[in-house]
Amino acid sequence: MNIFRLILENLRRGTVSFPLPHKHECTSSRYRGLIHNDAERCIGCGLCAYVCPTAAIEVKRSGENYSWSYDPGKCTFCGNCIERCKPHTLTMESKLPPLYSTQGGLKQILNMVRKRPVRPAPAPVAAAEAPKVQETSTVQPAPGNEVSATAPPVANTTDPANTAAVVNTSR
Amino acid sequence: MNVSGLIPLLLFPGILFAIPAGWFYVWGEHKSIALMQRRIGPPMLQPFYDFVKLLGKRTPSRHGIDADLLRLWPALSVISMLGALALLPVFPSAHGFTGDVVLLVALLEIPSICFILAGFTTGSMYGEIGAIREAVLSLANNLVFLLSIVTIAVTGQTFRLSDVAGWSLNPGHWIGVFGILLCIPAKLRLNPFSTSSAEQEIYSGPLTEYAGAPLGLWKLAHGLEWVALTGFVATLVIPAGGTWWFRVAAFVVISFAQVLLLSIISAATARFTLQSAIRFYWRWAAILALLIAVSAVYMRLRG
Repeated sequence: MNIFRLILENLRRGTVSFPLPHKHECTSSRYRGLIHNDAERCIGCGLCAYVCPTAAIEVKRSGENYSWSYDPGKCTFCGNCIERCKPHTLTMESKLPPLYSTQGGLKQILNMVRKRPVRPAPAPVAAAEAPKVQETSTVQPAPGNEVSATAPPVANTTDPANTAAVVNTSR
Repeated sequence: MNVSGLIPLLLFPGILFAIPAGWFYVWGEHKSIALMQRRIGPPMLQPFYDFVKLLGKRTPSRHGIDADLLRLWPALSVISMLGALALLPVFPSAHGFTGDVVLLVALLEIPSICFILAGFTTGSMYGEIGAIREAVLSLANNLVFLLSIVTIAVTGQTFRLSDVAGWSLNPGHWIGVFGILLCIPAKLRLNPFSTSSAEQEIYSGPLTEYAGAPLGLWKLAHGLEWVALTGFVATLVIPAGGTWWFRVAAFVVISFAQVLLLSIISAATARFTLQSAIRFYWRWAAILALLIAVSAVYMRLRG
């Protein structure tokens, strides 16, 4: 008869589920929500699209321009793209995605100009070593293409242009 | 032409009442089970929305399946349930005819037969498994169901529904009502007798391949089954006589009380295996029903 006691308690304590649409935030800080791309920092390497298991992210190139698109309707929120994004421009929102009623309603398309990957700026590990590191570094980040010292980007070595950039920097 | 005979079919407890009542009972079942499980449950009009949505959907054509047959089985179920409802003597003026209990039992059984045939028509493996389970379960629960009806008929000394219906002091009548109540979960495919439409196991069994309007008709037939079966029990316990509005109110209240009772049983129990369900009906309930029926016949012969 435990089940009847449980049913009575359930009726007394009320519901625990929330009605849609949610009136208040009910996600944790590690909730895997929509992917957000920082267009200022994205270098267009296409790794995110390459590792996306459901092709929710697509990168289409046309010369120096490229378009980055993300369809949450296809996304499984696995986080592969976040993990592989070396410049750390992709982030996941920690809030619930909004409700939408049309197919592709939340699709994002960003049209950007491709930026050449750069070597990371040397981390300011110690003040005494700083001048020495500056001497070995030949490339400075372009304006608007800064990368953080803790998140160094990696050059896409499969692209001839990028390979050339790597060669140049190593001379 | 006497049109008053059409009132039970068209108005109450027929089409005008039974269709919205069926949706309401189905909602009552879903909502009460949800509350017992600490969920919110669907809004009241959800079964109606589902029906309208399904009617608007295009059914994909399937190779090797007769689409007309697929539509025939749910349509037959709906018609038979409306016929069964028209036989229920709710109004004091309803007299029926001798032997209408037998017709009612036959009409109540048609949805189950259609469910079995639908399972085989779809050609789906899950449909066939569900159909076989429904057939076995139907054999199991109908033994008790028929014995209960025989008990009620023998104690009432007639097979006319309007004469056996109503409050009675005879214990045989109440044992018969109890026997019918025991069979209703199996006839409505509710827990613990939901083996034939086990949704997590065989994907709703015979309804696996159904979509669109035919599936909507099945949902409607299921709602009408709720109204007809609970209404049948209600007519057996409503006190005889009384004004028409009292009988109508009592019919609705007693029917909905059964919906809540069956929902509690459904929420409190897990699904029986087919063997356990057969054992329940044939070993325990059938023996009890047989004893009661034999004693009722014996008393009738002596009296």
